[in-house]
Amino acid sequence: MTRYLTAAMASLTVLGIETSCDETAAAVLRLEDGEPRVLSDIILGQVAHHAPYKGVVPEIAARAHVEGLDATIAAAMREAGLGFADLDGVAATAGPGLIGGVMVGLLAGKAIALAHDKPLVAVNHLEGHALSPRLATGGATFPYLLLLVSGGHCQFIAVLDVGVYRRLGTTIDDALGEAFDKVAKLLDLGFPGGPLVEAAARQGDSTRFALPRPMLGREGCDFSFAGLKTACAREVARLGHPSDQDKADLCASFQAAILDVVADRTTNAMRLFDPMWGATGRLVAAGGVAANQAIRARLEELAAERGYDFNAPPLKWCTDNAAMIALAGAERLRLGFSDDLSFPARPRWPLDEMAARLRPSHKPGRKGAKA
Amino acid sequence: MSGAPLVLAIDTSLDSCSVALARGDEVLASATETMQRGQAERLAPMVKDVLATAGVRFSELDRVTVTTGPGSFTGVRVGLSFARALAMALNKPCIGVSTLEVLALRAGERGLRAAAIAAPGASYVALYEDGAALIAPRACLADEREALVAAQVGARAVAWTGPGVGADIVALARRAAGVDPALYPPNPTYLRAPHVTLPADAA
Repeated sequence: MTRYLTAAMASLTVLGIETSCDETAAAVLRLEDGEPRVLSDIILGQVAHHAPYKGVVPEIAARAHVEGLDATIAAAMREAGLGFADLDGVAATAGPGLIGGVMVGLLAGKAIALAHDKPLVAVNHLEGHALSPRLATGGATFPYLLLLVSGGHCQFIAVLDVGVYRRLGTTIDDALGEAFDKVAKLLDLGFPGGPLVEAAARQGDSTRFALPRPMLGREGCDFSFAGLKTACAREVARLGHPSDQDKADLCASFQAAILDVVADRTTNAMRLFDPMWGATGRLVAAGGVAANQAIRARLEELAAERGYDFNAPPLKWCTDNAAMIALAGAERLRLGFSDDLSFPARPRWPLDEMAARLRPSHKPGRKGAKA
Repeated sequence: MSGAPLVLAIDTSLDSCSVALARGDEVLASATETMQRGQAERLAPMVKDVLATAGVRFSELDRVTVTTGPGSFTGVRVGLSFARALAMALNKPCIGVSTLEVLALRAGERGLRAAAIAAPGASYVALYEDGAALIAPRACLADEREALVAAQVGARAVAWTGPGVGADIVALARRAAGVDPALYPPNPTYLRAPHVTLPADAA
């Protein structure tokens, strides 16, 4: 990372590019006196590409990103009413994520930056999510306790400032969104599974199946969902051919277990956060699973009990998007940082590298911690 | 040759990262590094260096061209996503040329020219006569290459390139200078479906 002279730039306009999973996205954002304004925000989804496989297939995702990215960037520029020369920088997700797709967006970002001699910011996708609550007007102010829950990630992060993050807890196996998707797959509900499980749960009896609450009552704020998923698989096997009501009841029981676990872990995360960074009273949820209304409601309830403000970005900025990448890029530029054109795509890139090294969530192996 | 277009050529589809800047037959600057991975890191700095060496500004480029494969899926995407975005940002045409076409026509266009690429678990072939495709790039078995070509042209002599030869970046630049961009879109030539099977119950 190199220092780039942006002294006295009260206004920064940045193109953001996001291709780390199954959304091809581009956005233009202007940061004016610290206030973000999203000028355009385009997302090209790939659900139809992956639906037959009931999950995201990395090679298919990478191919779709190549096909769709140019037009997505062009649309974002057009909607913002700007030319590339009007930009102050280009921000592209450089990881963590599916490496094939990350490369597509990062290389496109490098090319645009090079063509117009603009600084490149290689953004950590998790930093995008961590800052996403600040996209909305009057969004969260630092520091805040963030629950980041998506298909690939499940962490508590103390967001102290731009670039200053402390991971307090993480999942030791599956991400929360992954657990939702796997249950959807077990029940043949379709893809993507999260919203379908949530919808089915609304029609079901949450007390019918006695499912485990992994990690409940344990010290710290780590998660584990593998056992809960296995318990669901066992119930599905026992049911043989589950009826629609069986499915709804299992979804409801599964979501009830999730709510208990999330509430318990969040309480512990608050207990860790408060003494270290003062009782700021700000709890934020981000990531695709933060779009789940039941989880939002439970977090809101919990926050109220403990005198916290609860904040979650609008739904469109919970799931993967490029506005949050543009914001992270603009914030970094404002601090005078940009990256080299040789920056690598990183499939693994912990936001808090220190925490990941000290307390790896996965066996580190030769490739290092995942996130 | 000052009337010829100024072409930036990029190839990352096989085992190297190559960049050349050419006007007609004159190569203003070029760079090639052998690598099986790492093109995503090296490509942009190499392009920057090649233009700087030639003293050319990006805005002066007339065309950007890139090999479309077949080759490594990742390598193909690195080159294509970079070249496409660069051309878009400069508002200039981006010309995609099959790696097989670049190989076959490396020494010129006249006569019968064929190219072969061998990758783990796959083999690819194409055949051209005076620069026009008789066999468009396709996958085949390694031991049916010769027969496929013979079926088209009988006993006539064919100049072969490959397998095991890298794409000549200058040949790519020269080819791209003369073709109609509308006929050479920068789309990947994977020639192989993603390695994935449908869930058993999805049929």
